Amino acid sequence: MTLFRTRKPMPFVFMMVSLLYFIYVISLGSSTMIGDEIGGDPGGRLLPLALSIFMFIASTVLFLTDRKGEAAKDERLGSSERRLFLLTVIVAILYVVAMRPVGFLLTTATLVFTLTFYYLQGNVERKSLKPWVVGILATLAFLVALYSIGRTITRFLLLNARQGRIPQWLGTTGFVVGIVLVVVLAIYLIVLKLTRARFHAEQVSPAIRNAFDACMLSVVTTELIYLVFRQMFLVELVRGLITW
Amino acid sequence: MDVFLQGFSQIANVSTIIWMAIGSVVGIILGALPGLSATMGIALMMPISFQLPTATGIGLLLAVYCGAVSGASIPAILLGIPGNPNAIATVEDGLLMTQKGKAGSALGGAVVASFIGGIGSLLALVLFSPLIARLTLAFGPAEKTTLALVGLVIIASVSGNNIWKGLLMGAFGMALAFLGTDPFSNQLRIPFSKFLATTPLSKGLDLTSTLIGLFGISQVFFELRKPLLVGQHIEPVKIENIFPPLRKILSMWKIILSSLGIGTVVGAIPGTGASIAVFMAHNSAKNITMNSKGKLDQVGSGSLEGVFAPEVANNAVTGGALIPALALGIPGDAATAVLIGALMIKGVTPGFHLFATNMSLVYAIFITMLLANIFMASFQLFGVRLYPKILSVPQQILLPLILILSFIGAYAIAGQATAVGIYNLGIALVMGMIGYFLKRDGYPIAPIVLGLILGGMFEENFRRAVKLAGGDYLTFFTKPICLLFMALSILSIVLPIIAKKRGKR
Repeated sequence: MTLFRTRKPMPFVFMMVSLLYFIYVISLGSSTMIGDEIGGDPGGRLLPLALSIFMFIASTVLFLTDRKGEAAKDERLGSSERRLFLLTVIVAILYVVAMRPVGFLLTTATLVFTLTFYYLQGNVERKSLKPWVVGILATLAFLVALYSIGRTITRFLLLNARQGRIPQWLGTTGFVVGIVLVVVLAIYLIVLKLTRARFHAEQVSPAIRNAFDACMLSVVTTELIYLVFRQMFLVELVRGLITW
Repeated sequence: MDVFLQGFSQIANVSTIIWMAIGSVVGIILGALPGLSATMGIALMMPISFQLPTATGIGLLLAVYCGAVSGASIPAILLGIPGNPNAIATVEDGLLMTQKGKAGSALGGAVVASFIGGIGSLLALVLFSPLIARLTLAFGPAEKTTLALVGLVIIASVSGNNIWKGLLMGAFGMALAFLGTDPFSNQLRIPFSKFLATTPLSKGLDLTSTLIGLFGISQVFFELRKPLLVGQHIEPVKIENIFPPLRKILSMWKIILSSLGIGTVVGAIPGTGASIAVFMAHNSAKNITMNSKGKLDQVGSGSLEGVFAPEVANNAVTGGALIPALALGIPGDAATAVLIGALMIKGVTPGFHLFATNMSLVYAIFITMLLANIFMASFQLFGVRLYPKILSVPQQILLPLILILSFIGAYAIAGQATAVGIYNLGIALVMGMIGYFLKRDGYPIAPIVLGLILGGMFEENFRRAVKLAGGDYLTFFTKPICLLFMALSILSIVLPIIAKKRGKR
């Protein structure tokens, strides 16, 4: 046990990984080139086997030689850093898992809002739960409103250009993206201008101010990503709960 | 001439110009922000480049590359903190010049130097890469096997402070490259194949998602280890006299030429990179100024010479690193490894085949490299008063943006296939976590990328060479080029060990 206390864990992890890799490759069986009746092909198992053996040797050498230094104690995360780190990991996992059922817009805005809000707060505390809930609701409402306006303009232009009611060039991708960008950004900037002074006033608590900043950042980021990847590059972003 | 015009026509459009301009600005910003590297910038922009025509996409990535290498000088000069390791040697004289009230000259000088370095190394790229590519005509499968080996071993042996860590990471990268299907028999080589055979993982790990995870997501986790920076406070500095006098530049011709040579040659050696070149150029400039009989200002005293040398060298590395990347498919550094990955995703395999069959694309790449340097210099000079403000962007805002851009990048590469996109998100997240733990324990990431990129080339050529030799493994010891490459591999392992032991004494 003393050996494990003075050694770093990573080489041991790699020893286990290479051991499992070795067992896996052995169980896989070798496959040779199609048409290798006369022989000569070393097969698909040789290199993975050699690699697993080399990885085991290298990780064993590191396990024996790479010891924990005095600096290891200093490298431990502080309480607030650890909480923020864990929050980031959990939110990132939830983002991947929830993307399909909930959809791109809602999950993206939630991820950006949550991380920005708590990073600005500097810690994850129970007392900041209320501003987080209010902030996330405001963010999603504002985002859905902007998205709906952009979607209405897009549909109007595409449909009417296709049916010949308006000139064809008004329905081109470049024009549609441009016009939606201008309208959405104009509305966003007006809302920002009208509300910023109120939320940045001296009497407003830092948590509310941070929630406001996180809200505005997450809305504009999500909307811009949507415009570039969905409308410009036609990437199929999952709709999820927003079906219109 | 026709082929050149064909290449020119691939990039002579508004879309290329706009995307390269955006890439240049993004690169400068990423380079200026401490902790964010050129490699990460290229990895983040890969999904966008994937959506564009090949030449435009590569132009975008080259613009990010050149911009990020040059942009790192901004915090180095104003704050004494290099944006990334490429600007480490710029700190000494750059910061002293700022303290003397010459921040404008230092920032402007750094841009001019970067431009000279970029254009000079581009000339070397244009002259030498076709010649080196032609040499590879003499390469059969055995030679290509040992070439992949030497590329992998060199970068593994010089990355990080422990040769075993580098080699282990290279092997780990190769093991990841072997996941998927056997290239010759199509047999599945993934664990839990009963469950994973019908998933996108049956084709192996998606390269873009893996790179985004290793360089983008892992960096976000890594930055969370310390208290987040609220944004750098910059004392108001006068930024004037941006353009260094032409006479001053001409008087530094020896420094420029030596730094250009060092940057290009060091860049062309796989695994070395700009952080080595800038110190060599800085030392060389020190010797030149000491022997100049007072004609040049001493390096280390807050002189333009001390800014010029490393800045010429680090941008010369960009062209140098592209020589083996384009001609041999062996990247000069982690950033060019990601660039090769971007080419491969587009179905373009670097090497002689590229020069023989798609020379118009090679010309297009050369021209975009020229444009990337012009954009970098123009945007950095015009925005010289603006970019310092970037340093005040707090990490609290920056990190969520990097994380979401990493995720969307991994997802978008799948295009219309949403299920593949979700798998890519998972791959990026898992690789980000692995990358974080490896970085935390001092394991270099670059060899993993090399292993991923060269693993396939190594296996295919190894099996083909042995098969052609009738199952004789000694075939690698009967060919002079193979012996040369193997000797280089052994030397690249032995020399750093000897150098380390000598250093200890």
